[in-house]
Amino acid sequence: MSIQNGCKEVSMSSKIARTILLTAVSAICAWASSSSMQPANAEIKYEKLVEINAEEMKGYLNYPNSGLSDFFHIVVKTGEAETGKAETPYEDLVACKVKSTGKAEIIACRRLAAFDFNDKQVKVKVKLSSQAQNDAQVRALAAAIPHLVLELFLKDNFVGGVYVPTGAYESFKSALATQGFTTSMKGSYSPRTSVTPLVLQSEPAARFDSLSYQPSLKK
Amino acid sequence: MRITNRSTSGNIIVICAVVGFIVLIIGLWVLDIFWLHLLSGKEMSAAEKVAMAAAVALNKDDNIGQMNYVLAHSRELLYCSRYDEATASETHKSQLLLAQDLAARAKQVVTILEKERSTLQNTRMKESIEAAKNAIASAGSPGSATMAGISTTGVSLDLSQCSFGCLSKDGAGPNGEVIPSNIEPSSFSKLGDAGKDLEEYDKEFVDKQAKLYKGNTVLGMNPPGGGDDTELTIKLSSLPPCINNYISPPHLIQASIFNKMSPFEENALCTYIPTAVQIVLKLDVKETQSGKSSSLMAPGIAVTGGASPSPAKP
Repeated sequence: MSIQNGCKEVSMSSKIARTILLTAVSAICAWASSSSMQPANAEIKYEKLVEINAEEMKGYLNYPNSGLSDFFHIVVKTGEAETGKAETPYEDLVACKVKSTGKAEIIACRRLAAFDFNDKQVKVKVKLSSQAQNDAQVRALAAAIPHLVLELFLKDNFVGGVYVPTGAYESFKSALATQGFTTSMKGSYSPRTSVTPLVLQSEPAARFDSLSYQPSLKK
Repeated sequence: MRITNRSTSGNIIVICAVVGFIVLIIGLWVLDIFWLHLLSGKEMSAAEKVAMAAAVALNKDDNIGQMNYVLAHSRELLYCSRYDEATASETHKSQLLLAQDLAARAKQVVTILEKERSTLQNTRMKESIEAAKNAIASAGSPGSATMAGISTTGVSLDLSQCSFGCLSKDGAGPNGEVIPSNIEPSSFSKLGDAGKDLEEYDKEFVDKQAKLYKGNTVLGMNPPGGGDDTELTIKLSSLPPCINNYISPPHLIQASIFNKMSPFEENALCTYIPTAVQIVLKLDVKETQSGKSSSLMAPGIAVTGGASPSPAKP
């Protein structure tokens, strides 16, 4: 019994150590970004791929005096980074614009499977549909990213980067700022003030920004 | 003898006149009956058309099915967010702030959706009443007319007997168990051990036969980590589900499976969005001679179109 408890304590301490390490890495990334340095994760070899894309739901919940608009069905799939294919459904989300706040929100989630991996280097790839209205689509996808990144971190994965199409890079950066992910650094980092790191990269590679979750700086 | 014959001949004329008059009266009476029967058939047909128009308006563009979907899955979103919050609090403190914020937003979403559900309900009930009123004229309903012994005024809705409702299960009776919603239960076991508890808790809201959430039910909240979400309400309406991509069309139903929910009035208090209507048309008939008046009533009961396939069908 005491051995089991000891094991649990060791496991807990290693998780805390890992959390502190992740926090420190994110702080360094953010600092590096603000100093125009190459990101610390430039050489990451990804093991897992998480792909998200959005389909416009035309006419969805479109009734007089509706407080919701711009509905998107967001599909999240996972796969091996090596093959570059994500074919295992993970969850389906519904995102829309809440007219009273003017912001995109995830309003529904349907979990189709559990993440079947832990302790992996994960690449998050965002795909844009050419059919849908671009700005609304970007806002919907950006609203899904915090949920996804959080779930990956809670499974002890390391999210090396969120890759977005180069043409929509600035739109994504701006949309993520409304979700609380900004490059600005205020205050000191500690597990209490909580920093969830996120490296936004364009694909093909040209630009990157190290962002962190700072809700007080939400636009 | 001649005189007698003449007298007899005169009687025949009188008798013929009397008989002719009686035949005429009977003919007119039969004509009136036939005419009333015709009117009654027309009124019945109009009532069915009006009920169908009102029922179709209730679930225009499958908005009820869509609202059921986002409501049930906003609950799943909140559960997932609470689960993440509890996990972050125990083992991943550095993610706690984001986890807490996302859980708070998920809770706010549930509140926003309940408000939207209420807006949709009021809008659709109002539109259903308007559709019924507009349909009376276009449904070929009998107008005001005068025949030999009777006259009728135009057809109108007998609002005291009209109502919103939903469909009871076969054999359940008018006040029996209603048909389920169009939503498959969430698979909370995919969340982990806490999810298994939730799935167990969820069983009371699931129709075991249909394997769908029950219709006209308030889904309870039992969040992981003990968060206080119990004041939230998630109201699912009863709605014919989509089975193997078959969408149930709007159709007429028997009174024995119509479950009355509220009066057919704008802003009528109704806990869930109704999915069926009972219409009663009234045709006032007045007897010209006696001045007596009565009404010909024609009921029509219809259920709205069923749900379309869920947007997130894997």
